[in-house]
Amino acid sequence: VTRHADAEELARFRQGDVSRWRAWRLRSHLGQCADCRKLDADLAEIPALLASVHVPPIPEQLTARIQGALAHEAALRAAPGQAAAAEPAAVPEPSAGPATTTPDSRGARRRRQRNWRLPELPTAGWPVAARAAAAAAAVAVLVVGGVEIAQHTGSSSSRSASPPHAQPRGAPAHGTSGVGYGPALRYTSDGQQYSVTPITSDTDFTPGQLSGQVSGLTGPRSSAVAPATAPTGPAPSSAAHSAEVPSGGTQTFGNFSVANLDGCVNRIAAGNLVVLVDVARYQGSPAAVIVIEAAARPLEVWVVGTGCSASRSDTLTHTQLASGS
Amino acid sequence: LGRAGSALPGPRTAADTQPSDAELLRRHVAGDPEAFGQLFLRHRDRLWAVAVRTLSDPEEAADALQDAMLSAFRRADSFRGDSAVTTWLHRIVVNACLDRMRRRAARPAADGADERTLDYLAAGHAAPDPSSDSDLSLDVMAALRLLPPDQQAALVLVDMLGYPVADAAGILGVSEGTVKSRCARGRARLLPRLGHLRHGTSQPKPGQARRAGNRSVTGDVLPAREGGEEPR
Repeated sequence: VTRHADAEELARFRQGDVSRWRAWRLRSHLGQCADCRKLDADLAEIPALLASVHVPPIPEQLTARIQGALAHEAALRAAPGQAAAAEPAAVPEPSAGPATTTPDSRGARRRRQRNWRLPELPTAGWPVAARAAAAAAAVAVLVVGGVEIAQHTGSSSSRSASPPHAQPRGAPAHGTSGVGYGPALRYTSDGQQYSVTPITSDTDFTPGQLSGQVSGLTGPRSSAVAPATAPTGPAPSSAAHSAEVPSGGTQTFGNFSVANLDGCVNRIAAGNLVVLVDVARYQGSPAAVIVIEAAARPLEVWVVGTGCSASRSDTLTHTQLASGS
Repeated sequence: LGRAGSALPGPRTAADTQPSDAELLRRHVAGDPEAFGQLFLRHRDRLWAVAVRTLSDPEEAADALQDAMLSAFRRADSFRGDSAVTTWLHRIVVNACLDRMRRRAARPAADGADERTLDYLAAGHAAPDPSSDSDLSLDVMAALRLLPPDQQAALVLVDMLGYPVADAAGILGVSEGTVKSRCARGRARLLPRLGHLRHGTSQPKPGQARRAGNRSVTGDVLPAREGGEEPR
């Protein structure tokens, strides 16, 4: 009687991957040994079991995201100098406020024909922020190269050691708690450098209310442009970022490392414009809500966990805001 | 041999009216901003199929696929035409997945990966009883995830997606013998972990892939074993 076969050897045997001699021995052993026949029969089912795993096709949003990333990459390649040249200017001028989505290079040329209509942020239409600190949040819309750019400005009650490379402009400093502003995050869209200032709205986003909560932050598109109602002038010294640099050296904002958040925003944006970055909570856990504007599509809302970085999305959920919302 | 023609399935659209993969890649290298995007669109379904099965987590798979496509975009000029473009693209995707698996091995399981995967799998089942199908799929994926990454990758390509061993070898950059060996080891290791599932599913459901069927996830019938490139 030949020796029993082990599963791996039987698996090799099944795919014709043993010597003729061994195959002969195995065949004769299988003829005599019910245990090994059972093992062999079980093994025969493994490929079918593996093949039975069905997964849905690639999500449309992912296709769009990767297409955006590739288009962005193509734009970078087409104008490598511009992106590089824009780099030193990427820090917004102090007087420009902590601009979100501020193009730092001139001559906006859109390779993709986008119908840019970023949400306009109404002063009175910020349910979430209003809950926390409506007065602290002034909102403006920049028009750059025919592109409307949403801009959040504001002050916060933050204590910060981070360099104020984006001083809030003209934000009233009265009674602020809640909304904080982080250091500008840089990203590129169509080969241009932009920066977006993350906020902390202190919102606890929830699955059922996500769209409403985000719409509250970004505002209905049809609403009036939020004016710079805030007085212009030197920013109050208290108005600074709420990012902190612990003694360890890694700059954090909320529960996020700024470096990771920066990489994360670039990753999620994938060449599209970033409308909002809110470092808040999702179902009670630390999360960031990133709203991007992709070409002629509804605003996309990505909720990511603190693991989000340049190399990993850590997506908690994703949705689109209905057009017009 | 896998050079002009493709070792792996070609475009879904009529090949004669569309530029070949090699032509698209050549245009991309020459500066055409659209060409690589077309290549991605053409093959996205099967690249996704590989990534999501290899990583068993749709979020990680999405990230890996994005990384892989950007990587392929950037190093397209290093493509020498020794293999089919599809083989090359698959290889980059598989390597991106393997990188992530190895990194994942060094840290605790990603939070919520199973829930995400289950939700995702459930979305793919239109069967009357989607939960049992997706549970089964989840169990299979969970068992697969316990194998060494190399064995996982081989089984994903050969058993799950029905690629010929030669194609899998080209994608993985190893010999056919190595692919077979990894598959055999992987199947043997899966046996005890899938024991509770085997008997309910021995017969493939209609339309489901049998490994011998050479069927891709998109439903295309893959060409029966072609030359493919020589394994390295």
